[in-house]
Amino acid sequence: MGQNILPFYLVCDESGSMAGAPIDSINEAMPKLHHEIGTNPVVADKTQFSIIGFSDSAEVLLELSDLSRVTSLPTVTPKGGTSYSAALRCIKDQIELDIERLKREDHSVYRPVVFFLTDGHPSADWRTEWDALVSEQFNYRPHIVAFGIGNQVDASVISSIATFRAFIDDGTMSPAMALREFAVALTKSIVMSGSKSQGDGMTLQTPEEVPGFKALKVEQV
Amino acid sequence: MRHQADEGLATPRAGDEPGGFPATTDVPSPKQGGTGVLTFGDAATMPPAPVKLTEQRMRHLEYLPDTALDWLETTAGSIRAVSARGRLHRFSGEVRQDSFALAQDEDALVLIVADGVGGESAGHIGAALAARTAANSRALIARALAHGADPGSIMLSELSAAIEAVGLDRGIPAQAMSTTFTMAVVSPPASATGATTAAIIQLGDSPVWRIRDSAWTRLDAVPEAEADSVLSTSTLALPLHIEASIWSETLSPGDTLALTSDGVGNIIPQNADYAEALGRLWSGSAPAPSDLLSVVDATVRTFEDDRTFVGIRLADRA
Repeated sequence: MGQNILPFYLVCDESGSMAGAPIDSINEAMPKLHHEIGTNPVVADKTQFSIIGFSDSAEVLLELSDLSRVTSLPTVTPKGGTSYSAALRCIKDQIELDIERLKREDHSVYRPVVFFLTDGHPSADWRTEWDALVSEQFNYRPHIVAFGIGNQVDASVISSIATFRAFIDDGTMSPAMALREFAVALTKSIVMSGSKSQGDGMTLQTPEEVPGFKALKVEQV
Repeated sequence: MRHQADEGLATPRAGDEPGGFPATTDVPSPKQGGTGVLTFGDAATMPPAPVKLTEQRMRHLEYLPDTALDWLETTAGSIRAVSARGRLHRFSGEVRQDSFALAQDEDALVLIVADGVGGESAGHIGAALAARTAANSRALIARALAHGADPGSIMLSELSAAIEAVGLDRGIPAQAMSTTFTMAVVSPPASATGATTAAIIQLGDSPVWRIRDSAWTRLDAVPEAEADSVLSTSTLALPLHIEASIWSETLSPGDTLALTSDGVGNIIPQNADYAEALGRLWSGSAPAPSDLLSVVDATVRTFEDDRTFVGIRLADRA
């Protein structure tokens, strides 16, 4: 029978520069996120979660799933370069596959949400893939919340990728700690969005402030 | 309050809540009626029962119960009304934001549903004010009766003014008291044909239905939703919007005219078992209020909004 589902995608930079403390922090935070969302009845019924990792190419590490039915989350592992275009193409393809599958199962779907986490500069141009992902022609275009961490990341790139909210490392914390705060913000967003009552609906909610990060202006799409 | 889990401190255990009350997961499933809690479709993680009392603010003007029921028997038809708080509000301890009202005089029976959409729990106040002001408004009822068959629009300025006046008085922003509004003014049946005319006024997304032989027909205009698009949840609402649609429906003896909040309306097309069970309650006669509540309030996974159903089953032809 049809249900109303809110899909969340965590898209995580796995480039070589994320090796060590940054990737370790993400991997340590995942079980907490899993527990908090999977055991929260408000959210567990309504949201589904997917993880996509990217470096030179992109791969789906966790298919869109009901977290209360997943026994453990995959880990992210550092690899090569930073191809935003591969990530954005993968996100679009996966969203299309997932939503069409959910619709075949007679469910209805809220506009998906992408949390895009990166520490670096994209290795090549990505505007074409981004335009395709956020275009009005793409019925399932997601809300994108972008997080830039570390001191190499370009604020203008983070602002440009986001469509809803953007945050950049403010340098007050180590990347490891900042990533822990990111994971808390991601969890809070999922819980708040699933819980906030606006009728039977869903409004994307993200924390206004995230410790260790500065909020950036987002260009309206 | 216990500390959150931290290095060196113990993690709170289930059953360790202050006062010794059992943790949420230990609360037994309540029975509803003689059949236990109904579920349509997949089992839900969200429990059906409230797990904490709601903060009852004085500005709500009354102690707001989880569920409201009302009913009426007349020669023209049988009315049943139920408004049940959704799983989400039960879990979070927030008030029910749906409201309904009934009115009766020699010219008409009036059914009203209002679904509060504003924040800060003030949506309920807007919904209650809209419903009760309309039920008491001879002028609005008269305008509805005089409307005639052609669809058109009607301005609900008096309802908007009533909501805004209370907002000013109590320091509540108008937006926070936003509410949908649907009203049916049902005339006595025509003696020759037995047909009944109902004038319907609608502002926002609380839908209107006819149930005939257990089958549902939606009577208001369904918003255009493309097959390959995503859910949208925005709606027009009082008090900031005042232009409502008005049109007339002709109903036959034995038909049920139902006004619902979208908490019920969204389930009807998506869960056939729920729709069938709710529709079947009205075949032959109107249901007992408690039977109506059992079905309206059944567990349907991901449908967690407040649920209101107000129906009139028109008398069968003598």
